[in-house]
Amino acid sequence: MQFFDYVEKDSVLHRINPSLKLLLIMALMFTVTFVYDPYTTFGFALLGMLQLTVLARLPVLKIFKMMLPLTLMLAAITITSIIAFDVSLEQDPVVVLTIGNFLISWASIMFGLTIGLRIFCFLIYSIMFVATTDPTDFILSLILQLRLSPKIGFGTLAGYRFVPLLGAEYQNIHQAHMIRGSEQRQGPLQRIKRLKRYSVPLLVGAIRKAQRVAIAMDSKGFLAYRDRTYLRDVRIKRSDIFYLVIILLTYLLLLAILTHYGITLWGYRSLR
Amino acid sequence: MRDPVISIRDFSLSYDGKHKVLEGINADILPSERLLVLGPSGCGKSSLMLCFNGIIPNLIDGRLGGNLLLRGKDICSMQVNELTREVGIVFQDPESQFSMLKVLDEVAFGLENLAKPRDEILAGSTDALKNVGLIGHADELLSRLSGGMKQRVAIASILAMDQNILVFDEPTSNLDPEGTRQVAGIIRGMPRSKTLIVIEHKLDQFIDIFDKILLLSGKGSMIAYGPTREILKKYLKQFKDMGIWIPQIPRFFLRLKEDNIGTDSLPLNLDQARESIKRSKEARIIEALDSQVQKRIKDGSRPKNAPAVKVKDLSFSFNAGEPVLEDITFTVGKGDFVGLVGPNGSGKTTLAKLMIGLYGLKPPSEIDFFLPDGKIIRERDKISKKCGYVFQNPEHQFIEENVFDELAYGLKIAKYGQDAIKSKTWDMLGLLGLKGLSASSPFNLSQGQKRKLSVASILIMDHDLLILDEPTFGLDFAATTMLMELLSDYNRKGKTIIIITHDMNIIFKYTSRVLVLYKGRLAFDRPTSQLIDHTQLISKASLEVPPLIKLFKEVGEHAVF
Repeated sequence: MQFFDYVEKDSVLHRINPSLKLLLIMALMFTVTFVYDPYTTFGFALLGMLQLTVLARLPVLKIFKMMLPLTLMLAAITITSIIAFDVSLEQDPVVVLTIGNFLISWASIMFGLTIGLRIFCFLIYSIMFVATTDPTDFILSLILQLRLSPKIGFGTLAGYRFVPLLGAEYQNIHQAHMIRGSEQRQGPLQRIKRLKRYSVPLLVGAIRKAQRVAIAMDSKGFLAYRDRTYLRDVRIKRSDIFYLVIILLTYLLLLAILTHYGITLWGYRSLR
Repeated sequence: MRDPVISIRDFSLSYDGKHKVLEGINADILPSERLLVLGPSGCGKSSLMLCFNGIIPNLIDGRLGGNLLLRGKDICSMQVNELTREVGIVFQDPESQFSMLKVLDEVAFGLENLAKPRDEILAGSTDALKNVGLIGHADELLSRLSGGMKQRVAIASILAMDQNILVFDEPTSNLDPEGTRQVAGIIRGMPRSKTLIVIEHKLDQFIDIFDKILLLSGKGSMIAYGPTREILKKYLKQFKDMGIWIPQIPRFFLRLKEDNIGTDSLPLNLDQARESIKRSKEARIIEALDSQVQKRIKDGSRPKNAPAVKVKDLSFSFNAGEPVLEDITFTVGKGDFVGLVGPNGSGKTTLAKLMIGLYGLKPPSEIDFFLPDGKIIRERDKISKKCGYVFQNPEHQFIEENVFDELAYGLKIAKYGQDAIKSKTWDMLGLLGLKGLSASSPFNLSQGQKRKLSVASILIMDHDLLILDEPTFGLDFAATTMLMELLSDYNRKGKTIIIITHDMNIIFKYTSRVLVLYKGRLAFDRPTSQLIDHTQLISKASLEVPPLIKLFKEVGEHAVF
């Protein structure tokens, strides 16, 4: 299993319509950006992880292991946020720690944790989408449900195949130049020069491939008929709506309970 | 007489309105006919194909002259969707003719475009996949398939649309022998209801299926159009002059004819050749065959030389993944001309790159590179001063902005004097026939010229060892012969050459030793002439014995008259 890649299997989340899943996940991510307490944010993350395990049947522990290098980044963001929080704006700060001129209050710690957890949340939800969405279904759903132009949709799909090829090509060019004894110094200026040199063969190759694909697609009558049909049955089914309602109710319930106990805070101002 | 499906009348094509890419083409292609279009590279064959389904002028600008009629209707007056129901094209490059990620989706793509209902799409796609023997791979990712399988998917995706005219634009030229065999077999087995128009230069496998040949000159004008045997007989000289491959079997018998050793009708494939020889009972045919074959198999018995590279217990995998190479041990002697062959994905390129130190090794794997004085080096930067490597894609190694500087680049790095650089570079340009192009960008050259340049820019360095990854890929007969003779000369100067190729004619004609890689293991390491007898290995490792050698093995050795 790759870290940020589609995992081919059958699960509840795999079967959900990609556009609906995307919109729902985006809505949840949007909501969580207005939450300013770590508890609610953690609740969102927890529900996300729960969906990953139960609904997508993905090995969450394995995913965590792969995320390990990222935890360093998360920790850094948390600490920076704690320090960056402007305690002087607080009406009645509860100071926990003083380092020189810096005051670290209880609210600043909560703020830092919120930001860290929020990014964690984003990661979880992004993985949830990417790992459970077949790229082909995703593009078809964008075309069929969200009215993306087929030209752009199929173009993207054709281009998607070239991404790994491009990587291999870059590797080859690098090796070929290296063998011929071209400059391999590591300075930033050298790197830019090298990038310029590599980009010509890369671009030439990419443009040629794109042209060939375009000719091949047109040869098969792509967009020759206005109403193209589709072999894959990508539409919004009743089960999708069912899933949507259940998920929305669950998150509303979480927010209701936490709000009832005064835990959920909305907006930056709530921290003062 | 049946009405032609395509009639071409005094047809010409021009992209800029002045310079003509195609000119004076006249042909009547009958239903169910199999037509072969031949011409040197860059003669406009592919452009002609794109006119057949209206890509030119509908999507690519071009000025058409004369008439191009599809069932009596002018192609220029037809809609693209009308044309796509009639004409399907399979292209050369298996990597860049797909728009979807998975096999079934790709095959269904055309039917979807034709707006067929879902059950029809499914039925049509499944049938097409069955026809090319890939029904078991319907749900697989295209990127996981071999080149031959990809081309079969491409054919299936055209078959699914059930057009009557199928165009194949060099369908096997990017494939290894096994892939070529598969695709040639499918083309051979096409139902007679289809009209086939094929551009191809590797024709040993299926020259016999063609009813007619359309022969174009290098400038895109028509030289001849007629029945296959007639064209081969009449235009042998033109074929040679233009550097077009002539399939081995008919070429051999045509040469015999020149010496008045006659067979009645010109054999095109092995079976016909065998029959013809039996019937004629001419001992001279066998003699001629014998001498031809001797010319084609290099004698591998040379004295044991000091080693140039020693590979010992080599195993290798990328990022702790599946092993690419396992347990490989061999030695290449100084002055050897070694062929490295095997199916695509068997690890040939990886092995070659390991030899020049591009990847790190883990013990007990060892690769020793020997300097002339017997000293061993293992570091990449030291090896690359002593060993040249020509990459598969010539564009990947282009560094400079014009041809002259590109050739001189290595010499500059090696700190040659100005005068030496100039004279060496001009010499090489002259040798390649590229003098007139010294100031143009390497990227503006033709495919053949690019390849010549990429080989020459390494050759000029006069390295002791040269490794080449498919240097003749995509070259026509003339360019291939020229390049291989260049390498042969180099080899005769005592230089060591290792060449990766799928072209078995090259292997037999030029190399003294063959290494066969199969599934990451070394399956064969002996003089080339001994490979012929290992028939099991040959079919297993996707190799091929050139038809003339095969013929000799079958009829020559036991011939009693």
